[in-house]
Amino acid sequence: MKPSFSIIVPPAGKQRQNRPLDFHTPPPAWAKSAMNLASLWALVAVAVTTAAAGTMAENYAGWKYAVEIQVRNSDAFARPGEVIDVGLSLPASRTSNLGNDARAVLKDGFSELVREVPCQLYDLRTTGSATTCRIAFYADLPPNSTQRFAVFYDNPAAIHPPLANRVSINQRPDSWSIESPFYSAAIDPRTAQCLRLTSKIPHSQPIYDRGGADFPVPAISIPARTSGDNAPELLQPAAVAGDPDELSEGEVFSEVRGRRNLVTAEGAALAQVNFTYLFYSAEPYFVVKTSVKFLRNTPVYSVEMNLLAADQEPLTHYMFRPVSPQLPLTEMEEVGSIMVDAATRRGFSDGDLLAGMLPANLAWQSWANIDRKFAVTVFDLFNRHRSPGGTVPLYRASTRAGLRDGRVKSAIAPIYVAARDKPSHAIPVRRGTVYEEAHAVYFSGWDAADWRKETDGVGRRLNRRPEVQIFPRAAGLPDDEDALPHHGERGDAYLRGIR
Amino acid sequence: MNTLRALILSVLLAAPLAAQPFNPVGWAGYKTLVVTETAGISRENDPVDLSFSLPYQATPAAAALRLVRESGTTLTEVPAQFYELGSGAKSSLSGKVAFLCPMQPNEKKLFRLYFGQASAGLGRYESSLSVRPAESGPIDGPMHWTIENDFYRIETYPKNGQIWHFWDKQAANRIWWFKEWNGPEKGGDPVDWSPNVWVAYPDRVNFDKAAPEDKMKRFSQPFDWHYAVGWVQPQIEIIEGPVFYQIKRWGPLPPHPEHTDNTYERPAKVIVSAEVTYRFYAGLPWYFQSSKLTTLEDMDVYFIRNSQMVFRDQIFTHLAIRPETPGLRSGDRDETCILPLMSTFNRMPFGQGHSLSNVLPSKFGYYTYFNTQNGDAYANFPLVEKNSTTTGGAPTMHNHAMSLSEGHDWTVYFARTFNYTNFRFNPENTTFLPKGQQFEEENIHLIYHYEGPRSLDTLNHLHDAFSHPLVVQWAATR
Repeated sequence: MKPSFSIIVPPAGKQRQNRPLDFHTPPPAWAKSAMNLASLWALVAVAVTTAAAGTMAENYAGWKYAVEIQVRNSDAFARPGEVIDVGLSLPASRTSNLGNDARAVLKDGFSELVREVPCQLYDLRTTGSATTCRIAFYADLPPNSTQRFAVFYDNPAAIHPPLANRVSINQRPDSWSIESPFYSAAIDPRTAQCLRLTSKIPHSQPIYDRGGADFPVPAISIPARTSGDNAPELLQPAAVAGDPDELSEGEVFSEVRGRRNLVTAEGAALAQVNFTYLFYSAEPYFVVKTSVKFLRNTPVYSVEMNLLAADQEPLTHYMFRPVSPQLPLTEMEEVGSIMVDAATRRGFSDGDLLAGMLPANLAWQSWANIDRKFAVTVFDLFNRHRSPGGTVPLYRASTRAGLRDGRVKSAIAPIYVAARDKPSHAIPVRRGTVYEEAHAVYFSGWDAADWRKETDGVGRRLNRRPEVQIFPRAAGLPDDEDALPHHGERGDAYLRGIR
Repeated sequence: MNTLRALILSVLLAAPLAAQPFNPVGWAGYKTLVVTETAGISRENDPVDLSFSLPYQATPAAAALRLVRESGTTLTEVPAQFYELGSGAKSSLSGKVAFLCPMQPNEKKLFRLYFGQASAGLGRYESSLSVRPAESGPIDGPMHWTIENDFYRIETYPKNGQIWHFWDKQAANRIWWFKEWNGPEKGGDPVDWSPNVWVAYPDRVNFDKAAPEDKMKRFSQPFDWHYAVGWVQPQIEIIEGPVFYQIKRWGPLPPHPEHTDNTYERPAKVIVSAEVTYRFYAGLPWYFQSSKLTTLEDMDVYFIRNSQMVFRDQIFTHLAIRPETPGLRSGDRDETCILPLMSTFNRMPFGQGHSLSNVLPSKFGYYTYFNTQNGDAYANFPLVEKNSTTTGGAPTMHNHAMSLSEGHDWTVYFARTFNYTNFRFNPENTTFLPKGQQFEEENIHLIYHYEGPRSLDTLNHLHDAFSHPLVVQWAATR
């Protein structure tokens, strides 16, 4: 079955809605034009800035209401380009044009309007007398600072500003193409796996470009279901009937969300994967959230999450940041590093780089070339597991980084059996068990002096979200489990310095 | 069969008195020993070492003992080493016997320990192991020995007997050495650094009087190096014989005499003691080593380390680690990983330091360094890691891991760390240790010829053998 696809962009004058499309059907004209408007982003910013000079209040004369969002950065480090994403609950009587009239404006200490910032409204729902939605915008937060933003709404005459997203997503039958100023990627729509990945920092550098599709959909290996064959079987992603993928584009991020079954060679669906890709307009990283839910009681050899693969050829080193539980606060946490270049490994067979000794809770892993001076880093944001029985099956839970077929692959494996020659070695997993994770893939240059510190800074920032308050308080919604994973939960992993 | 096993076998075949027919006439009696292989693997030459007590009235000097293999109706004398003999109560003789025992998978062998024949003594067996005073060199001292068998040559540090140099006679036969302070003109420093402790004195002002303009932190100021490499004439006991030669040293472990600033105050008593034992075998390419470090007073430390063999980085090109995953299910297996040495290839991304710290377990199945060009190779099999206190309670041992340090044109070494900090100049990063902390280890050190990845099969076999020693049991006395 070919996957279907729906694209969601807030159209001017229209409420956001899901519009399932056949995958071969071109997107509507407004969507295409919206995708092509990314280059207007700078123009809009200039126009807004110009209009703001001395007349900011007048610019919003047509809006009747505003909520204030107070953002507190209580950390001692700056957060430039911080993604703020909050839930709002507004009277439905004021939200007839909410898809077009919402504007986020930075205020100063005296509530004077300073400048409008790009914002993105999504997940609009009206139930009875209340409309709920989420709004995302960028904030530049100095250390130990508080900023205040007004979100204006209820202007029936307002039109949606041109979409200004520096990430473009083009869907073709054989791949979704993502172009960011910092990276480009191609995704196989049949499997939701990555087909190609290129870093553009500090220069264009293919990272994963030799064909294949190894990540980031969780991988499950099971005993062979064909009698007489002891080889393990890797479940393959397949489309879920009647369940189209969704693409949502906005000023802050673009989101691709979908679902795949993990099926045996005979077509039996043993597990289901939910995935969300978040591509940010102005950030050198993207976020992947995946969860795998077992649909049947299944004996497995391995469950591998947080997957990333890179071609071995352009790499010299694999590095990682451990998290030592008992280091003093002013201690340094050292980056681990090993060589992965082919020349020094000639004559040795592929295999696990550290034989399963890497713990499952690394703060980050990085693939780097210290000569070409680039690095691709995966920040762990969270891992959450649950099982109907209460006890989630875990066996040899570890980070698995290994060389396979000219690639350096890594995964966080809640379950990992090395001896996969007998079904009796498999670990039983109950139906309904869920393994869930989120990670950020970050593109950067590399240098011996500052890279570790800067990388750790990015990880620290990604794993500690700013505090947000909404006024009037009734306008705010508590964060729910479906909130997008812009931030992780690994803040404690970054309490200590690194060398 | 790989080369290592073949070499062991060839040495056995060449041993002049490996086995000879035994005539039991005239012996007072014997005690039967049953040796069983239970792991289902072949044993090329596993040492058997066990205590005995015999109904035999004799002084140790006059004792007559033989170890004999019983195979059907055939009795064959087996070279054995009898040691720690003592006359016990009730007209008994006690002691220990050691011998090498090849075994097939799941094989059971019977031996007899004969006793009591006038003037028979303990047997005379030739040994392929030579231990002799080493040739005089740039460093002098009373514990300067050369230990040599068919597989390796080892030289001990003259001042204290720590292992100083190796030569792999099966491969390039080049010196394995290390420089921390001493260059090649002085022969470098010992390669065996186990055990050691940095006792912290964080209240010392960290100021180098010799270079007042230098703001760099200097060693030997906020801490004292209590290192076995700095031992000066520890107490010593030697056990020698045809099967093994054992050197045991122990005593107070004072601050390193050559790297201690004596202008600072420090306790005027012994605060750390250590014990190090080496046992070298004839006919085996490996030796046994153990260490024990005990804190005798309360103290602050920056770290304690053992299992630390330190080599010049250019000696080896790669390393391999076989982990020992706790909780491994029946039928599952550990895998071995192979890593190029970044220091050797001068590819350290951040300069010298720890390549892997606080991430590895504190005990491997084994690790090995090897040189793919000349075949020089070393492997370390940790048998026992035992940490305790002499006062009861649990030992303090956080940041407890094996760490890998590398530095181009300097070193590569693993060390097991306890209470480890990298920020050695921050008073808050010391760890308080109540007195009586005791850190013990037992390791096998193998010197072998690397002949490609298949050599790791040999190491896996040895690991299995070391993990499942032969089962030995005394039976009836006749």
